[in-house]
Amino acid sequence: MTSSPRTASLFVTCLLDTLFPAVAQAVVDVLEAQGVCVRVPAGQTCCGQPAFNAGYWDEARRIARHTLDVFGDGSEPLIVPSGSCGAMIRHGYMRLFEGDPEYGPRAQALAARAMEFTQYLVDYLGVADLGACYEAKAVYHPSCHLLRSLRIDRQPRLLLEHVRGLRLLSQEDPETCCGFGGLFAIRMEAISSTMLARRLDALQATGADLIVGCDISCLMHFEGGLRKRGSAMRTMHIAQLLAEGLRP
Amino acid sequence: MSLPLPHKPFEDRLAEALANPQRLAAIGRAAMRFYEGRVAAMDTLPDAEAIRDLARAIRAHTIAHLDEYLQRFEANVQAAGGHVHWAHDAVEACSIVLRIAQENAVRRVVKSKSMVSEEISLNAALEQAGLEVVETDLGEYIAQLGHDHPSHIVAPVLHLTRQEVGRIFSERLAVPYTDEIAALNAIARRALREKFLKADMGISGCNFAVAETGTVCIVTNEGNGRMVTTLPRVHVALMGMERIVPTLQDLAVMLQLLPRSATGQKLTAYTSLLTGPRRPDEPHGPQETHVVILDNGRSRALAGDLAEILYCIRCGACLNVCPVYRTIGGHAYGSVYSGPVGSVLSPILGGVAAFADLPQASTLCGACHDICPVRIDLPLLLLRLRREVAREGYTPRWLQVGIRGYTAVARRAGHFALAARLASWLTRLMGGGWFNGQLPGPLGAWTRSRAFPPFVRRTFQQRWKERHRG
Amino acid sequence: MADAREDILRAIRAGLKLARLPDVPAERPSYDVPRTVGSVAEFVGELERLSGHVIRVASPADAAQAVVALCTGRGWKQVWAWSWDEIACPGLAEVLNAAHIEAVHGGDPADLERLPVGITGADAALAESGTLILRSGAGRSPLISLLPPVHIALLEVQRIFPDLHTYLNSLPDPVAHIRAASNLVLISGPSRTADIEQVLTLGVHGPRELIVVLWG
Repeated sequence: MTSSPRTASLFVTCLLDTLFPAVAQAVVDVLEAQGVCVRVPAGQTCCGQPAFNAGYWDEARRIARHTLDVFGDGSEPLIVPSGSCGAMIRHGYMRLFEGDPEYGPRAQALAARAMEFTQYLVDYLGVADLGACYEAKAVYHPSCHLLRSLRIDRQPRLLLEHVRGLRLLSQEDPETCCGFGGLFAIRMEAISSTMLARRLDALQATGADLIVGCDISCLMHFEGGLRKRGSAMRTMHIAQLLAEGLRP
Repeated sequence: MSLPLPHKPFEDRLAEALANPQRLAAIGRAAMRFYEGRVAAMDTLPDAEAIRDLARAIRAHTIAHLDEYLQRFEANVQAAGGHVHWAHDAVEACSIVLRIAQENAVRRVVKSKSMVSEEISLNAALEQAGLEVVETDLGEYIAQLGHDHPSHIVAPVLHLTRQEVGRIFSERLAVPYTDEIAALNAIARRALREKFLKADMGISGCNFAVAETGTVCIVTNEGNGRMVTTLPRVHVALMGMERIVPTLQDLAVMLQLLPRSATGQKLTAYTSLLTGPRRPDEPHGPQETHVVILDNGRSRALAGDLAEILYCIRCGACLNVCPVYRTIGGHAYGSVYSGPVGSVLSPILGGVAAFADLPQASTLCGACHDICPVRIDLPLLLLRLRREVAREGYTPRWLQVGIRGYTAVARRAGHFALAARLASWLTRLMGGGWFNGQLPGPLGAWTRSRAFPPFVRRTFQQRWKERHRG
Repeated sequence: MADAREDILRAIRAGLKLARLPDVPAERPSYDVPRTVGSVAEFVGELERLSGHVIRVASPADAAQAVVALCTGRGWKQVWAWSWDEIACPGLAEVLNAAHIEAVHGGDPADLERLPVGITGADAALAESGTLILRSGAGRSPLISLLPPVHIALLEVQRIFPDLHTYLNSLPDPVAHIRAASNLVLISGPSRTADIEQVLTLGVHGPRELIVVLWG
């Protein structure tokens, strides 16, 4: 048990803010249940990754500077409920502000205290069993930035393994990309939808009720495809699953 | 710098590729098999990660001293009795090879696999000058007979079935049709044996050039590489100028990684170390050997933040693991170099104008970075190329407008909140909830195969502010 | 073409001033990489996994007998061979002679390629990968291990090294050793391809059979 009150800031992410606020609330609920005091600095927008990935680095910098200003120069952990935004803050910002005398050090400082949601729970708080119960057959999808850029895989799996009643199934080629890739989903639609179809076939073949992941972008991609197919399979962000699992 | 340019635009190449799902499935399966082979083979190393680190250090050190090592290599080739030529670009390289051919009254040429020879379109130049040029690597031979193009660095005709090969042989070699693989191989063996014995000149690539001995190292499995470099009286080796290793021990490190990464083998059937022409007491071997060192845009790559691509040892592992390559196959890239490495090399060697699409054909999933034996950060290089593409104005209009709009919205909290409200209004117009219909314009690309998520009326930050007021 | 040489070297030097090269080591990389420990069993296992065949015998005399047995068993009357000195298997010449098997040592490849078998020695072998090392030289044509459909190599067990690094380290002057010959080949099993539908076939251009007679 924590002996002193823990504070952390939350990076909401643009997708959770505008499309899936219930997931952001679930993140807060899970953290507060662990005794964490969650702050949500006002005026958040986006990490800037879409512009960065599209090659518009000046534009990305403008957005990133705003984000760096919003989070200020505090010292408490910054929790990021997303592998791709996490990777942007931890690695992308270094690239954007290389050699910048003012924002370079600030980007480094923010990167140093930024942690993905499951990483914060398992590695920082040291908890694996939250006491959650959720009856379902689930399959975990490791999103690419989480898995490869941030090297986070053990943590979400550990959390899921401790959820009572949750049966974790395994899929074929689990580490193959879902095909979202941000703007790639639109610019390279034919490739993206083929990759999505392959991934969904593999996920549906497991017989699981739901797909769990740490990145709403991949889950949104899956959800969009599943609804188009008329499938009953659902997607859930790990925070949602844990939050619902904690409800009495 | 130059590279053979694609014959049709990217969208058409892509549509063509996706219209043949069986072929793509075969490519995907083969790539998977290479990938699994690579994983198993790397496990046989006592400490694969240490060897990869070492190999990266060797490549980095070599490129950082490239001019010194090239000069040392040249001096040692000459000391062994070989000749060295330098070529700025494709045109120059072809004319050098032609001159060597003319000086030696060469009429018949046999070739073993060389990516560089495809890069410079050598076959066309030689054939135009009236020489007979025969590809002897089985896959390349089949591609040549079938007027086709290789679709994978290591397995050129990954995309053909045995029936298609049988048809090519029966039509072009005037033999009875068979699609039995052993028989097809026997036909090729007989046909090519004749060519090897009658050839005047052999042209090969160069997997690694060893600076301290003046040695050209080529790794092959079939034996054609050995025949091409031993039987004809003249041997010409083509090398990209970055394919250098300083010492024999460095070569030994590279040889622990290249075959494992490429085909899952510890060593290929034949690893040849070729140093100069036959010695006076040797009964067989070329009487004359030449090495052509090619720049063709590599010095431009060196002069900036894409230089890391020069560490590449051309194993093809990044192709085998890439989910995009596995989905679209090699031909869709429209380039001699496909897959992740090709998406970086092609714009560098062939110009951004012709290959602006390739860096976009990636989700930046990072699987290539993970598998590269020398740990090249391909996603970062692709991002830097995207920046180049954007700077040179090759982004489609709708995206340029979109990025400008997105930037305006995302850099100010007030704009962002406004945009979120507008979006939620559009969601309501579309009926609320997930939208399963078709949207116009670029967003139509999303809705063709996916439902569109609903924007909420109150964002999380708005709810948070309200909840924590007072 | 001296222009191209100077231009390219100059372009490289200029490029290096602007190059972003990650992880360039401060010093030349050194070799503390763990070595595999080689053994005869490992060599035999690796080679057999590659579809090579190993005949294990005690002495050169047994090795010579094994070669003759192979030839008479297959009905081979003529063999293409390295010179006897280079094969370095005492008694081989006599035993083949006694069995009326003619050994050809040199000539036109166009004639010799029809011979059913090539017989060579080997400079060394590598246990890690089931590899034979053959260096060209007087009486050691590289075509003998390449053109005929079967390749027989006679190898003394003491010539087996764990891996390539160790073999190179064992040479008093590896650079001179490599520079002395136009051709040094590492042979790891018979010729192979999987170019057609990824189905493995042996003996595309080079030998389809590789037999190592291992003595000592």
